[in-house]
Amino acid sequence: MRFLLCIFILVGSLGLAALSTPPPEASAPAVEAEEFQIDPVHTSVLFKSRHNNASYFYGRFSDVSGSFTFDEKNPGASKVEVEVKAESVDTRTPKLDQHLRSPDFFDAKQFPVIRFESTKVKAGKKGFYEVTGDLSLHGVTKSITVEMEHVGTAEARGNKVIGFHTVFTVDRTEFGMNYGVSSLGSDVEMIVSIEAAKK
Amino acid sequence: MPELQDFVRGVLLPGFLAGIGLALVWRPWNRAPAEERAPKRAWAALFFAIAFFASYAALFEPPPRPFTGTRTLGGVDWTIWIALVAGPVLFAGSFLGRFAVALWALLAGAVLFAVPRAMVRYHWSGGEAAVWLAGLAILLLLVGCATTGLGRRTERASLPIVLLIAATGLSICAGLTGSVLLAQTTGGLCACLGAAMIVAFWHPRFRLEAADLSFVVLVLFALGLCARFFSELRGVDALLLCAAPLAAWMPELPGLRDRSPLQRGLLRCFAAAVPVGIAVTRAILGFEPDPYGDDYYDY
Repeated sequence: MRFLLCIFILVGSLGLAALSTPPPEASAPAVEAEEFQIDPVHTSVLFKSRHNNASYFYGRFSDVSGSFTFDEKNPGASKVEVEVKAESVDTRTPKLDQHLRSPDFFDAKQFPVIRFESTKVKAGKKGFYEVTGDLSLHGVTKSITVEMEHVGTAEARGNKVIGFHTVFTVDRTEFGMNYGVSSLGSDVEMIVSIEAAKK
Repeated sequence: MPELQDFVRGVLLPGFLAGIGLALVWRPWNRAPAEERAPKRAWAALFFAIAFFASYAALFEPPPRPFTGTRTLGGVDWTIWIALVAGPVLFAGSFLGRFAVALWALLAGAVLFAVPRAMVRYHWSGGEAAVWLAGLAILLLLVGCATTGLGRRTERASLPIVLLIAATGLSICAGLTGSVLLAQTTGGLCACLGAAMIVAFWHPRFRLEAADLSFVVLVLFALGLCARFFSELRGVDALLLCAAPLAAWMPELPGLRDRSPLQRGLLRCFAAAVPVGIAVTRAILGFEPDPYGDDYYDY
């Protein structure tokens, strides 16, 4: 009888223990990385370059696409892929756009896509991430690191949207774009502001 | 906007290199009795190749080396490398007699394979690529045969002048239709042809050999492909530029053959200038200056 009672207590306590111990998922919930699709309408890719060594000149690319995986708790699991069509360069002046698409600059027929693909993401100061990746431009692929600001997260039309912003400088001569360096300079500042919706 | 240093690097440098090379080589030959003169070699192809590469490297930077994986080469990069290889190869080929034609065919194949590669990869379907490449091969063959055929018939400097007209036309059209880089690159070849023209006036026996002409045709054709497909040169204008060496056959027509060498030479240059002039005029008319007086090459 005592033996049966011991068995009963043992089984019962094990059962209680099992019930009281939450499953591992509940105690340390694994944060799933979320996948986002870039919203081309609310995403801007601008560039700023010197002109005649006298002023700054701005232009934009109107065809941007891409996606990213974002894991706020584990930034290392995040991944970014952005593609910009070189043909979509837009300065509000068709003649200048034509020149920028020519072999003098982006050579858009031969190198139609400007692409950034991250290889490493790590958390920076609060709300910022250091994103290292391969930038392919004008037939050259180079590793660059940019600091991305997590602008915010919100609900829009029943879906989660998220925004990032970064400003970085590219030396265009490192990408084989050597035309007009004396008057336009070699450094081009890129301003990238991304809005993306959860897939 | 091209500056004085661009003129020095892109015109004076290649002109000087090609001119000095040709003058030094041709001087002793010209003095020797005819029976002791060495067989004609493609010296111009060799010096043009060196001068053309030097001008591009000085204007911009040496093109990226092929097959290293550091950069995808564009049409202009391939043109510069093919030109640098073609010069010595065609020079060597001028010792080989009939085999020289095979070398030219190989180089022409390299131009058609490498220069419009991006069009095949990104813009043309398989069928379109086959049609385009076949058409371009026929056009290159036609222009090549027309130009080398002229080499045996032309008077003193008229052939360098015909080619200089065609090259200058391409340079102007390329500059007016979107690419100063292409205009300046072509300018290097114009300078080489200008130097050959001066040497031709100086040395009465100077001639551009078939291999020299093949070199010029290959490089001009490759640059024309870049201007047509990667910049905004219109197809009609590209064909008009290709028509220059064909038009230069005009003095061979019955009734004109018996004219004096000077008249035939002038007629040849004038005939070549007509299609080139039309192409350049069309490019000028199509060029819209910026309303603020800041033409596109200033951007």
